[in-house]
Amino acid sequence: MKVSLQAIYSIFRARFRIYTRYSGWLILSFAYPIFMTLMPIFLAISVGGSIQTASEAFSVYAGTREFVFYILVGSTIWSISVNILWDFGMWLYEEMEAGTLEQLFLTPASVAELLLGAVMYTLVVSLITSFIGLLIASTLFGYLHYLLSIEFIIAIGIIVLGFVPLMGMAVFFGAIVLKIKEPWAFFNFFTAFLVFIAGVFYPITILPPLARHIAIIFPATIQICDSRAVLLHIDYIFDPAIDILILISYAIFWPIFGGIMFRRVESELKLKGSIGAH
Amino acid sequence: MSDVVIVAENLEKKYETKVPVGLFRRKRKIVHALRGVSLSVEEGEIFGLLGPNGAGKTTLIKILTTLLIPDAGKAIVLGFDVVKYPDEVKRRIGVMLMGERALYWKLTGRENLEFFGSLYRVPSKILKDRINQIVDFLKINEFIDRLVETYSSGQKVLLAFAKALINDAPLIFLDEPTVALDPRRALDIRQKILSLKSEGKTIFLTTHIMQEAEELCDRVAIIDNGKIVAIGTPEELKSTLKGRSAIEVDISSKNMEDLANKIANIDGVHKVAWKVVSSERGHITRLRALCDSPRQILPQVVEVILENDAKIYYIKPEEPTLEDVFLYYTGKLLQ
Repeated sequence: MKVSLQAIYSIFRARFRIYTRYSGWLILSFAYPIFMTLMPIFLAISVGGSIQTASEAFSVYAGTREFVFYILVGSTIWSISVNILWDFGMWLYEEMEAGTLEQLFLTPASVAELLLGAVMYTLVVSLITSFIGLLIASTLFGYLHYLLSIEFIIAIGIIVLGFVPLMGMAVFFGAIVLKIKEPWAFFNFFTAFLVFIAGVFYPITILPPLARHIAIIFPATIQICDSRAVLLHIDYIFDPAIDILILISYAIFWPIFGGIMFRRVESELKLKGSIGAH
Repeated sequence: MSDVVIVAENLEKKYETKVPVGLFRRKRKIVHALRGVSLSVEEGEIFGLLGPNGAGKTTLIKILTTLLIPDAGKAIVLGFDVVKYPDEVKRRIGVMLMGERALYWKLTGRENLEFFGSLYRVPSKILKDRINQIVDFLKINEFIDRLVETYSSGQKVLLAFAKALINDAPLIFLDEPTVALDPRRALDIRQKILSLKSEGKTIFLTTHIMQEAEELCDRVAIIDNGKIVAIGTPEELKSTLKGRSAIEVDISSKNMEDLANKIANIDGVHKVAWKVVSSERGHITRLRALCDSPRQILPQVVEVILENDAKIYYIKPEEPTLEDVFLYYTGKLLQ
């Protein structure tokens, strides 16, 4: 399958232009990850009474007293992951609503080009806004040294590796959106479910055993847990090598599975004549 | 001899729709959109698919442009099977489908063309010049750099037409290209379609406007209820009327159904149909009677109308048109 960089860039540029023409977009994009991070921190302080008491209680399960940074890493990765997971599906839904989806299917652009173009926008915007959010919060709470360490670069490597299966899952979710035509109920459920299952605000070790096993199905869980493990020198899910192997196997499985499912749904819609319907 | 660029053989398409019955129940309804459609289009011709709304025109164009998979039958476009090789087909065709909804309203016209040009893999160096050529060709300079959301309906349709030209395809599909346009813009578009033909492009267009098909098309297929009922050049189709022509009456009557039946019973009248049209008098009924010799039958038609207390605004014998061909084959009028 040929992938045209021009086509990918064109989708990215069009999306960027469209969103920047809605006033207030930029400010809200930057504000979102900061508030997502601050909420659980204040919750923890209010429950614990102070940062110190909250830290001591937190370290029993998490293995670190740096609970603010722990949550900061979790919420930042969760925010990027959710965006990548859903953005392709949401974009397809928006195209369906606008009536332009059929026009995209009329062009020779491949699913990979559509996905990469759509996700490139999300990736760039999410990474920039999340990093700025992380930078501001780290400065405020005195964790800037973590961002200047070699471990931070390793953590970024783990996070980037996790983007590959996430994009595959995004294609699968895109297929679901095309099929069910109404993404919101699924989106709301899954966003909350991912916060719960991937250990965004707490270690997955406190989850019930079944939930812990389900958690590992999601690449975001490994991204979050292993990034924290590298940065805070705490336990990995299994072992660094095994965790990375799992992530690599997901990176192979999800894009193939997502692509197959998308093709199946596309054929089904072409048979039903409902590509543009929503 | 010209090459054949489109071949459709026995295309069948059914849709299943679900009609809500009460709060949770839905009733299945099958719509038979195409019933064994076969046709071929030669290189360099303007081929028109003429039929009323819901006749199956858009379904056929969607199959030929790879948006739909037929339930049965086969379609070959520029030598490629549309089901087996959709990407090969898509690269080689230009399509105007859905008119103004085909565009990104938050982008300018030029940005829309750049976007779609890139998806068609037009090299960047060529794309800029091509957009300028299309803009000049369609004379859309005055609004091409404005956001599409500020366009009138006619301007949006023109931009959708421009989009269909962006990959300089040898075969262009146009679905109702003039439907939202005022008469002057519609005439402009028709002239542009003719100049595309003079450049050697093949045009496949759907329309429910009889004059448009007659003016533009080298050959016309008349489609009704999912079936091709007649196919040929406009002259060939009119010759199937065997010398019959029509009487057209703009009329106001309390019981049109009854009046139409009475006119149909006049000797020498073969088919009668009527439709409501907009005119300077508001919405009026336009009746068309297909008959052997309109000038002789005209007085009897007037007599029947007056006997039924109907009011005549306008009546005259007319030369046969494709509308009469449609009436002859289907017993209905087009619009």
